[in-house]
Amino acid sequence: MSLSREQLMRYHDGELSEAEAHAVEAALEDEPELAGELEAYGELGSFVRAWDQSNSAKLATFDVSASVMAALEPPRARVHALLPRIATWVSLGAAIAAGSVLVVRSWSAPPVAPGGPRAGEHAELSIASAVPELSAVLPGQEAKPSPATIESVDFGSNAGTVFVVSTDSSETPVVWMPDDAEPDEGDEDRSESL
Amino acid sequence: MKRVSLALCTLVAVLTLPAYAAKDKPSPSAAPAPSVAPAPSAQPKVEHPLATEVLILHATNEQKGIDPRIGKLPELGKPPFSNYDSYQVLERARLPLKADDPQNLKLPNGRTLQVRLLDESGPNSVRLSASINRPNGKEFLPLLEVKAQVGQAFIVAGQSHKKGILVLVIRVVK
Repeated sequence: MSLSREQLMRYHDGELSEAEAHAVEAALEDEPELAGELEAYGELGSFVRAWDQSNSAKLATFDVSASVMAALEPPRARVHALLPRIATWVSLGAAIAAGSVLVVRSWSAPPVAPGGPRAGEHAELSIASAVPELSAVLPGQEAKPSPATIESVDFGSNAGTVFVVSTDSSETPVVWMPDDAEPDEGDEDRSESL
Repeated sequence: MKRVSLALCTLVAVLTLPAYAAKDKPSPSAAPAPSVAPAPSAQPKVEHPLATEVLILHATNEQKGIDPRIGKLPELGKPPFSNYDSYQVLERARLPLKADDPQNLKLPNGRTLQVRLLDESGPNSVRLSASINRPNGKEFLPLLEVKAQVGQAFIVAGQSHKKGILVLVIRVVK
């Protein structure tokens, strides 16, 4: 007669009826190896009982919430580890965004109105180039409108200078050409020249 | 990582969109810029064509003072104009600015001032050229190119005339 493992375990645990127990005992006599297996079940039961006794105190004080929180600790640690990286990325993104804003605003800003040359009230300039107005406006001082710009001058064979006359309210480019060369036909008097 | 990328994209969009939006809005304080002006084909017709107002002054030292018709011209009190104590208005002329039609103005010394529109860089901004020729056809001031806005002026001065000099105040007007 062959015994199932379940029957043997139930026999070990004393859960079989009397008839079934007799049958198992008969089988154990016929097959000595089953006795060894039954002995192993006994050792396993002893081990379980011993483990149960040694851990009963721990089981009694087992805190589920603490275990859950402990289980959550690793992801939290990961989040903490990611924060510096996120901050770096956010900073980088903010820098890129700020750069984009500056570029867009520089594209959309109106061009700087060119101002005339300014080198004192009577500074001589060979040509007035488009120099942006750089003079600072002090608090309470009225901002001067940007002057017209002399872009190019051809004096021909004559001498001339270009300068800017600056007043409190305006700056005006001046092309100064004193003509002390030969008189024109029809001009009555050109005896005086600056 | 996806959340970080999404957050970055959102941040960039939030920061840059207002700039794009502001680009399309006209600035109330700034003058209309040529860069945001509509295409030439879409530009509205200018109701008042631009022109130059030429004020011809005669500067002398005849102790006559400054002609009140000149109005406010503080440049006359600054060197080298302050070297003259008398300024008289000889003529005030308005020359329309036209690219294909140079405008001539005969000066008191017999020379001719010619003004021509080079291009309009905006509704109130122009590039113009000016030249002064002698009666014999010789050039006195062959070429002067100026970029100016409405209301801005430049001065051409120094030509001898009747014990003094001529001062041409050329202003862009509408």
